[in-house]
Amino acid sequence: MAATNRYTGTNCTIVFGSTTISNDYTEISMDFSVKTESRVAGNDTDESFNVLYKKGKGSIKFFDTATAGVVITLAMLPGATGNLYIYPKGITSGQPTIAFPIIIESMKIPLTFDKNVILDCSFMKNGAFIATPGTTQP
Amino acid sequence: MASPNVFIQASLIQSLSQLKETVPGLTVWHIQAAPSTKFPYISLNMQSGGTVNTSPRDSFEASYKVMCFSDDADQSDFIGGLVRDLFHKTTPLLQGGWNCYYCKEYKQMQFTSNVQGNPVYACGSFFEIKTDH
Repeated sequence: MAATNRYTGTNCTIVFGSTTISNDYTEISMDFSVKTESRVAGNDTDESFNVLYKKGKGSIKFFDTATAGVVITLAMLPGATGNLYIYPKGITSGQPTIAFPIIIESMKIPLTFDKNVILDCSFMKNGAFIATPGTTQP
Repeated sequence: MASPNVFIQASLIQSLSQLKETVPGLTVWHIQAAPSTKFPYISLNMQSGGTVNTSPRDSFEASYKVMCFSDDADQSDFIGGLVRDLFHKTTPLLQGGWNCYYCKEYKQMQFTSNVQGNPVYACGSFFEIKTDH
């Protein structure tokens, strides 16, 4: 069987604006979709749709690292806007990349006794893709 | 670069050596004391644990067993208490660039044995340690 080149998130680099936020990340999740409207009319017997616009949302979880994490936490406060660049296999020519502007929507800070503190920020796509999923780095 | 366990063990043994000032004659050993070592003494070893691959940052979490041996039951208990005071709810300074952000006792042990007709008393604890680099 041929090699499939599967990969993990080990080498993932994530940059928001000018801040690298992947040093302590545990998970980033993205959800891209389109807004549709039904165009059912008259005596149609099957539903069909018009595509209205593309949208996206996601979240990133990362370990809070006390004083060292302050820069990242400040950059990720709700309301912050900027471009999010994701390099799933690292910053290397020919490897995949995804990039789009976002607005930070929320930041959850669960403080559990005796457990690692992991911040959870959700974001929304805030404009057109800079690099759609499936794009490779030049 | 050596295993983080090497740095952590060396650091903890160094910390335990502070107790020599409180307990005259105390010696501290890695895993096992040398043959014919006089009481009291402490042995330390990693019980289990390893690298935690949950983020790009290097992280190591392990439990360490510290046992205090003596021919006097009260003395072994006393030293066990000193060890607890030394490590429980602290962040021991580690070598090799490792940073301890969690160190707590989670289980205590006591046992006795008989060596060539002489009783040996042991009291000690497991400590859970979390580090990053």
